Amino acid sequence: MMRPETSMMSRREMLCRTGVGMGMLGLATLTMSEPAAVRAAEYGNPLAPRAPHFPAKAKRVIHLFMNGGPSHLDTFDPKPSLQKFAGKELPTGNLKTERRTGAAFPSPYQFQPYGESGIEVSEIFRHTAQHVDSMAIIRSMHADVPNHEPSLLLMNCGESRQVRPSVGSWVTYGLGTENQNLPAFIAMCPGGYPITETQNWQAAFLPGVFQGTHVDTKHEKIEQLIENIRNASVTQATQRRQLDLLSELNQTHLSPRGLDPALEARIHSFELAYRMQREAAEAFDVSREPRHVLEAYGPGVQARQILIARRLIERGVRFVQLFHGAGQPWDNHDDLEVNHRRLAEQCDRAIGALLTDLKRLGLFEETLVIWGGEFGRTPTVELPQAGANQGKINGRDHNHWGFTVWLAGGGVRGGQVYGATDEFGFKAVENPVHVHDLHATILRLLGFDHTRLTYHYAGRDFRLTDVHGTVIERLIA
Amino acid sequence: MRQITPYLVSGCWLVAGLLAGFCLGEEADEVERHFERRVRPLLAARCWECHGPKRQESGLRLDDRESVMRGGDSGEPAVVPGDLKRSRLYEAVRYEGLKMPPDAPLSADQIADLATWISAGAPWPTGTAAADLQSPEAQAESARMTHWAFQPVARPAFPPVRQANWVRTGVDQFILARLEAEELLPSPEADRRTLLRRLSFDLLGLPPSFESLEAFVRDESPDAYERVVDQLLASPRYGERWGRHWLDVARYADTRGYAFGRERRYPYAYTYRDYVIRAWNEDRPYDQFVREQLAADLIPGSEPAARAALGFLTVGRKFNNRHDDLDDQIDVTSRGLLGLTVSCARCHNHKFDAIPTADYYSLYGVFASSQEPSELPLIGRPEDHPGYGAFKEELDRRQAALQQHLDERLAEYREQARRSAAEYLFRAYAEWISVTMTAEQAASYSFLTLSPDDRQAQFANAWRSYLQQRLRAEDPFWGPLHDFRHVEAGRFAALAPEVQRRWLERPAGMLPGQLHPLVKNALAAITTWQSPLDAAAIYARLLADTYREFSARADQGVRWESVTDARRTILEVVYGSGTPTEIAAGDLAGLLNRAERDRQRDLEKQIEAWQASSPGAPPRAMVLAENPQPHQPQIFIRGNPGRPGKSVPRQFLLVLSGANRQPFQTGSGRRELAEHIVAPGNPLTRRVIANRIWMHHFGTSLIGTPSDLGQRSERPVHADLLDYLASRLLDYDWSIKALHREIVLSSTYRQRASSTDTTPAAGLALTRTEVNETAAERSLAATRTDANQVAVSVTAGDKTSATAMGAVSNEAGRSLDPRVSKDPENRLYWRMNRRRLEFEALRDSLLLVTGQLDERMGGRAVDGFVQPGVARRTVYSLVDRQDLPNLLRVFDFASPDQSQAKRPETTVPQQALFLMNSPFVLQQVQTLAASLAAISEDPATRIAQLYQRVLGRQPTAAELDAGLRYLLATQQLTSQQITRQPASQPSQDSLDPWQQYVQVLLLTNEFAFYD
Repeated sequence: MMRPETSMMSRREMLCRTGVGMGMLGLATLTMSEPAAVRAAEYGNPLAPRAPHFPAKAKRVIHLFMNGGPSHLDTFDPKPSLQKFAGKELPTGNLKTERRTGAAFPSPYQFQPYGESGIEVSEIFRHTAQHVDSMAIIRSMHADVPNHEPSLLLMNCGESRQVRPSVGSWVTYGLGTENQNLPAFIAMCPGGYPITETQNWQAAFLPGVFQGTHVDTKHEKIEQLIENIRNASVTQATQRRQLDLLSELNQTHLSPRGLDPALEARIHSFELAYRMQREAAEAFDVSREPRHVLEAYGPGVQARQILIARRLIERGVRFVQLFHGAGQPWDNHDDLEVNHRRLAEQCDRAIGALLTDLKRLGLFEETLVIWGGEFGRTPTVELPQAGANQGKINGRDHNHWGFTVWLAGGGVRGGQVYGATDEFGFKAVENPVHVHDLHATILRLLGFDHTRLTYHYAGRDFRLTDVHGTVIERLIA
Repeated sequence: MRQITPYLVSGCWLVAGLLAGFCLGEEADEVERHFERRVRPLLAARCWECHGPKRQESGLRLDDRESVMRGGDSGEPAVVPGDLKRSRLYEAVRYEGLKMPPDAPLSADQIADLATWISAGAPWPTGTAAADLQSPEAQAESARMTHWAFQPVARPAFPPVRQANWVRTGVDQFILARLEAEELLPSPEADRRTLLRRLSFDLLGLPPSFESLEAFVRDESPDAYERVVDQLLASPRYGERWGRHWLDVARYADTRGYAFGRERRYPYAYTYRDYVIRAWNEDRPYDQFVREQLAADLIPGSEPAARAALGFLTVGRKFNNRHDDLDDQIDVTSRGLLGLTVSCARCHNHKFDAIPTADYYSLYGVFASSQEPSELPLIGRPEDHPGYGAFKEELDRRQAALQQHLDERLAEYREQARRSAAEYLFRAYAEWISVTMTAEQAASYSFLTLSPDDRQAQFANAWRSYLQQRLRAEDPFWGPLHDFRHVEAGRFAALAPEVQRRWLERPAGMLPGQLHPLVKNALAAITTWQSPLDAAAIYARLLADTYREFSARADQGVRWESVTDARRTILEVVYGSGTPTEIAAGDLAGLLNRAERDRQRDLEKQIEAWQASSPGAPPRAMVLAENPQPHQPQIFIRGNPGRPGKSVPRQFLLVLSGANRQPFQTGSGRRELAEHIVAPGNPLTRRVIANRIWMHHFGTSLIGTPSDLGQRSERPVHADLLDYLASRLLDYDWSIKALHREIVLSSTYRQRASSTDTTPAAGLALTRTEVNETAAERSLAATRTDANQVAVSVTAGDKTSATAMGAVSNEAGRSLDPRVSKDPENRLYWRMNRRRLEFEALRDSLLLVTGQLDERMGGRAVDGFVQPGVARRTVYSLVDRQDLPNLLRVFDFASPDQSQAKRPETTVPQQALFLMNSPFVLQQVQTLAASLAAISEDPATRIAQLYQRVLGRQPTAAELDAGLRYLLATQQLTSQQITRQPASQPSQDSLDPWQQYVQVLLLTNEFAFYD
């Protein structure tokens, strides 16, 4: 689509890129004629909305990223057989993971069936489970290695080591965004960065505008959430008057220079920025929600950022990714029972409320919701090892052999379990879904053929799935 | 010397070749050769991706004759031998009806090649010729013969021009000839003020002062322009501007990337950045610049400071994976210097270019033969560096802390090895003789104390090989253990007493033929035998007892000399050298547990952090050093290091070498690689750099893909101009500054940037309708090109033409310039391009006009480039590739992860937000306003001053009026309180009206663009 090594947006490209979504821009700059305003909005703006390869229901994405690796065995993949072998070695032996593991470790939580589909879900996700009939639970995910860094990069960028664009970057590159007053791709993480940091939302060789905008949702004030969104020195009315003078001076500069979309685009960008100040502040301000909505999501930073995600999606942001917290909160090598329960408590209710809310607002069918981590955890207990864990023998190691990711909304065929791990939940054995397959499917849900969403760079066409990936048709409604 | 266009040249060559063939009576051969050299590679490169073995779009294959004659789903043949008119392939490549290939049309000579082939009956030889062609050598040969960029750089003759008086430098001759051929006129020369602003931003990234503009406008001497160019080129600010352009190519950053708990900063990356800035300021010849960046350590007599040049190879992202690190070096070298995408050949032969995987691994071998030394060499004498004493003292302290940690751990593991020697010996022997113990058995041996998790595999292995080495039949100490191992397992209980008896017969002693007294005693005590472990237990107990006794007494200063000879033999096993209990410092890495490793890493990080942060750390060069033994590369099949294949020599790229390519002779071959890259005969290097220089002057590149001159890159519109520049570079002994002069002194460069203020040349104006059609067609063509990748929405033709109409219509009552419609993208350079300041130039200019720019050069990177008070030039800011500030991203800053030829140019509101709201800009505003307030009380005088400072000119009457009006109105408003503010918005202005006004001027397009 674009060749980075030539001019990013040539005039020719600009001219042919009129079209959908201009209405979202609202009023054209008052001092400009209509065509000039359109031109200015389009010029050099790689985020103008675009249609995908073919029509699709999903238009936007919320990715709930449980970083650290949530245990599938304690959430969405019940394994009663583990009970039989509790404290004993598994008859099938242990697969090699990052650390040594020992005897079978049954889930400390109760599972029960939900909905018409009767899919069993753990008590710690009982609110989320209310929507099980709308969810496609992929129990046969697998990745490449049992380590956080490569697995995070694989899940987020489709490649474990080398620098490649993130899923959100690819999606905004392909679709642009529907609201020019907000960033197109927002990555939220309270308290800092996940492991591998900004690489999780990197644009790599795609132009920088496709990179995720990181928002530290630990903060509540808008000026701490988005840089330069507030002017601390002048009132809004004064700033309006400044911009009016600016516009006047810029017109004087423009007029002898004739047609120049670059000049016009920059004039226009100040108007956009002016509007973004208000719109972003509104979008991130959850206190504007009615009381019953706030109560439905519950207290805490997870609830707040999940509610923010809904507000962003509602306003046309293309891709919102939420990390549970800085570092790797779900990485429970010790005290799994206490920690998984605590972590789920922080987000379960809000996830349930989010799905309810999206349905209530008519956004559910247009919004693809993804839940999962970079891998799952072992069905066997992690053994103590000097300096590696606390030696409590009550946690699980990383497990890339098999884990769960679920999808909901946006064209997903809900109420189904897809694939399965073995009897004990160690390894995906039935209809295994590699991360590349998940990516191919996500892109398909958004209307892309993953083999054709490419970017020419350094002599070849790159794509999210590299040379891999199979669309899982059964996941699609 | 070529006097005519290359198309005609190659056409002539072809005809001559065919005729020659005909004369020799080998017409068929000649036509087939033409097919193999010209047509088959062309089909392979441009058609087979969609019409080949893998995909058959529209059912069409173009990789064998039968399919070609049959055609695709349309049912019509793609080629009818001898009949161009009925050959749909020929129709499609001429973009008549079908338009193929869809991404970009074939060149005229490629189309001519196809025509020649079809007309000659479309022969398609099979067998050896075809196989031969698939060989990399044949592909390279064909590429060398056909692809424009692989042709030698020859000085093209100046094409004739009619308006010779317009020509100032050779550049103009080529530009004008092409414009005249298209019946277009160049634009008039820009005014002096515009020219100086252009030169100053181009060369320095900073605006000229009002005074220098005035002086230049008044300077009537004939060489005023030349002199100002020379002045600018001599400014140290020049290297900071152009050095940064190079740092884009060099994917420069001050951090290593994700650091796994290590220090992320490269303490000395800045020495490479400073080297680059200095090299450009000193106009280091480009060939030397390249040589130093690849091999400064291997150039005899090169100045020590130049070794920092090797940062070109070492400042890339570190992947925690050697192969990826090397890939990064191969990529930056091949794309950055040669304009070839060699990295594409890591897993398989290059899809489009004649770059076999073997070539990738030849370069891999070159770079794998060097390492970054753990201690980087100092640049200059550290004692000369201020603050060195304090730095060194703290560094020593931190290094001592690390050393102490390692020493202590080493001592602990040694002690552990001694304490548990008995257990390791026993278990190693048991494992060797394949005896597994039950838990009860194990419990009966008191010296077995370690849990499986506590046992160190490294110790066990050491004991195993020690026993295998030391157990000899006649050894007075180990002999019995050897013999018991050889007793038949099934009859051990019966046969063992015989072995015991034979050994007990020997006299006690330590000489050959004797038995060690302590062993003898223990052996004599055994009455029943079950397994060889009974013998092993003797030795284990001897080790355990010896350790216990000696370690207890060691505290009291007991020395080896004081023990008996018999005991000393055992003591030597437990404490001596050459035994498994001797742990060398080098063994430690494999023994440390996670917590200990983390501690080590933490202490290392403290050392690196100190080096990266201490102002007294003396500069060091981020060099590579040659390994004693160069790496002998093997191809990794499909890029997988676990699947090594054929060995390849370290050597230069096939496609750039003649038939007699030789492996590199000296060491890693890095120096030889550099020499091949800068060899005058290398067709790529000079074209690549000449184009980069041109691109930064005009904003557009002569080559479509400036870092990819491979076979997919189209021949440039101005190929001769490019070759002219490339050949001039050699005339000027690779002086880049001479090339700048050649370009900026030209009339081409001095043209106006606007199209509206010139009179269109007569007879060229198109009607408005025609223009609309042209624009619409163009748009459609562009859309179709995109369709293969992402379908870009073009909703309706009317919308498209509405925009197109906007582009050429008479909006402001001005007449239409025909050049706008004929060459809207200004590919022929009939005017100058208006340019927007990149982030660095914008920020630096803000600092300059507010009087705050700190002109100190070089040194450690400055963190916080948008913090108020940080006033160094932006090139000195910390570039953290792992956490690149979002602001840099939204301002199109070059990605520090990949060599980047050209930055995208986007316009997004976050850029405006920075200027409207950031504390950095507000601080500039306040400073500037304060300095102007000191000059005069009179608003009109102040406004005039402000215009001079910010825009380098006087305000017009209207602008002055607008300013006064703003100030007046705002002052009136301040008395009335403004209500209803959003929560976090201030309810009162803390910027006074004057400051508000200053900010507006800094935000203008005039400030951010130059004509």
